Amino acid sequence: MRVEVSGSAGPMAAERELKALEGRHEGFDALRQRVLVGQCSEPVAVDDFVVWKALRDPGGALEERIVFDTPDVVRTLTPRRLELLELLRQVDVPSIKDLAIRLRRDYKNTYDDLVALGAWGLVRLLREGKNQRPVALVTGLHVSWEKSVGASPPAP
Amino acid sequence: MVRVFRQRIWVRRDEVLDAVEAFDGPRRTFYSYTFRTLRAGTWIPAVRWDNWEGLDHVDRFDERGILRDRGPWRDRPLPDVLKLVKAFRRNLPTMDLKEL
Repeated sequence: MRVEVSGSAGPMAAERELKALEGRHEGFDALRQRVLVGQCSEPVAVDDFVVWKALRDPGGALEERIVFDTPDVVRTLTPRRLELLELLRQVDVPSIKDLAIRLRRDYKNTYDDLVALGAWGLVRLLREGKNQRPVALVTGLHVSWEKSVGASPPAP
Repeated sequence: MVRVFRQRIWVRRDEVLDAVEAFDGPRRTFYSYTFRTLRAGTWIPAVRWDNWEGLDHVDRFDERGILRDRGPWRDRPLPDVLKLVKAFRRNLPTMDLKEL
C-alpha cells in the first residue's frame, strides 16, 4: 500500500520568489552569464535561472507542489500539529510565543512541533529581530492512494 | 508564455527529488530532476537528470555536491525517474545510470 500526502503551496507569490532569487544571486544578468557563458553545471543556478526567466516573461508563471511519497510523514502530522498548521494559514503570527498563546499550549511544545514540521518542509521559521516568525508553507494537505506524483501540470 | 512547474517530492525525511519543468504553451522546453540527500543540514545533489543546453544527460555528484561526471541519458518522465530513485536511492551515484 502506498500512502501519498500532498500539500499545495498555492499560487506562487512572484514577488517573494523574486526577492529570494535576488538574495541568492548577484542579479539576473550575472546569473545568465554564469549559466550560459560560464557553462555552470550547479543545479541550483540552472534551475533558478529557468524560474527567474519565466517570472520576467510577461504572463510567465510559477506553480509549486510538495509531495510526500512516503508514509513516514503521517507520523509527524499529529492532531495538534495539524491544528497548528491550520492556525498558521488563518492568521499571521509574529512569533512562536504568540502562536503558543493562541493555541493555549506551552512554548516548548509549540517550538518542538514547529521543528518537527519544519523538518518536512511544512513550516519555516523566519528570523525577524529577536523573534522567529512561523510561516506555513502549505495551504492544505491531501491524503491519497492514487499515483499522482509526476502528473502533468494543469493546462494553461 | 512560459510556465514553470516546480515540485519537491519527499522520498524520505532526508532524501528528496526536486523537479523543475518549463513549458512554452504545450511544449516542454526544459526539465530537471535532482535527487538530493540531506547532509549536515544542507541538501546536497547526488544525481541530476536534465536537458540543459538542449541535451538529455545525467550528472553524478560527489559527497560535497561537486560535479563528478556527466553521461548520456534518454529522456524519461518524472514517474519513471521517481521509481529509479525509490529503488536505488543512495546507491544511484555509484551506478551506471545510462543503462537504467
